[in-house]
Amino acid sequence: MEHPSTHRDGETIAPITHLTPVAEDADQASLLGAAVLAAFGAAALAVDALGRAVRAASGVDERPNEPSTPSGAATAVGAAAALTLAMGRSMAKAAAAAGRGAAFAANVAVEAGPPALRRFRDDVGRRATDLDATWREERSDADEIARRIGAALLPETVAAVLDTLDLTAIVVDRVDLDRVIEEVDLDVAVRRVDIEAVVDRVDLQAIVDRIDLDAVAARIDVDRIVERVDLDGVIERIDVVGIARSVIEQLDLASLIRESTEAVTTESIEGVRVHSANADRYVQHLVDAILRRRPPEGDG
Amino acid sequence: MAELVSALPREARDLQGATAGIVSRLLAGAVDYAVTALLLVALWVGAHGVRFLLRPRTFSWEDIEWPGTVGAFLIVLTLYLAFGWATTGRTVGDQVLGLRVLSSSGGRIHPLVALGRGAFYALVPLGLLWSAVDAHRRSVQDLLLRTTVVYDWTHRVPRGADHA
Repeated sequence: MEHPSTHRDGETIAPITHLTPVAEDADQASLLGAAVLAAFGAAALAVDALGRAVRAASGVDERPNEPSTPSGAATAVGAAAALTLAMGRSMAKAAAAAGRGAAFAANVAVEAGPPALRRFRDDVGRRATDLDATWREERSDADEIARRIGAALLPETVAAVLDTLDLTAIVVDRVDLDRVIEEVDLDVAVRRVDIEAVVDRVDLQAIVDRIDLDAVAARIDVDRIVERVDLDGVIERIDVVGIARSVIEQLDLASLIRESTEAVTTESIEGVRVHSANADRYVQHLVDAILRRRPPEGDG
Repeated sequence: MAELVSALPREARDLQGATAGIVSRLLAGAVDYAVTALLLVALWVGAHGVRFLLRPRTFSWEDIEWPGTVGAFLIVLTLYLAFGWATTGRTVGDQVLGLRVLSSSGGRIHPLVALGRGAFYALVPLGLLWSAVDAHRRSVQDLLLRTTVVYDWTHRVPRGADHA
């Protein structure tokens, strides 16, 4: 399982997974080289960032859109890194060769030496195996502890970092918001919003209380609105007759008209009419009773 | 067209259009008899006035002869009733009692029908009494001439006579 990735110097280094303890057969030289490279790379970035911060703090103007050129400090660190890396690589190769030679020599010596030496070697081997087994058993606990420490430290660390950053400015500077908005399907988002719930949570009365309705009304051109209203259509749709009838019923306009016009029908004549109509009804009932007839519909 | 606003008292609104009963019609008939009597007196006085103007010297009040007077009364009554029913559907008696005579279709009755009805009532006034017995308050005249008498306190004149 080899996942080589190419570094900017054209040198092949092991992927990061090979830096973990489980990669038992990792090449020592590659490991060392990658570690040194990473350390110096980080140092170079840090120095570069520090230099920019110092320049910004001291008021030296740096045009933001211009591609940044490596500073003197970063160049010096980079050179030192390259030099150290070359040395380290040579030393690692030499150490690996020496280790292999020493191991071979030690093995030969033990095999050729007294039996006590072989027992010692086997004893050391067993102890190493036991230690390895113990480590493997406790490794999960160690991982869990490390994870918990990380979980405890991470939020505070992130919060401290975020406190120093102006995220809004970063988003505005670095994010192409137009493109983001183009990518977002707002219809889907709106469909997922429970408008009813939102409205329920809004205190509309409080909002209305805060609005100066008089000021709003003063700005409305009522004449223009009325001009646009189809009043004829509205009136056609209104049951004017029904409204008028109910109003007149309430006012008893009929009696007012009767009083004011003094028509032929006077109250005395009305009285005669009502009484005679009642007498009609009475006679009808009487005759119906005598003839044992059910009164016809509508004749009372 | 239905009347939009009724000027009638509330207790009378339900009556409108219903067939009138015997008491109202008898009272209307009594009023009409009185009116006819007044008309007859007026005619009698008027006729004597004309005679006085034409021949003042020979003028004298004539004796009242009952057969002729009754005949004249019946004729005047017939014409008076027919005129009222054929024009507005009501006589003075009907007007007082709030009645109106209509054809079976609800319109004004034909003048000939009105004349026949007037004559019938003048000759056989007892035919009115059948309206007390009839289930639909129709008199003998109503049954034969297909007319009806309804309560109608309004002043609107019914639509034209039926010429069927």
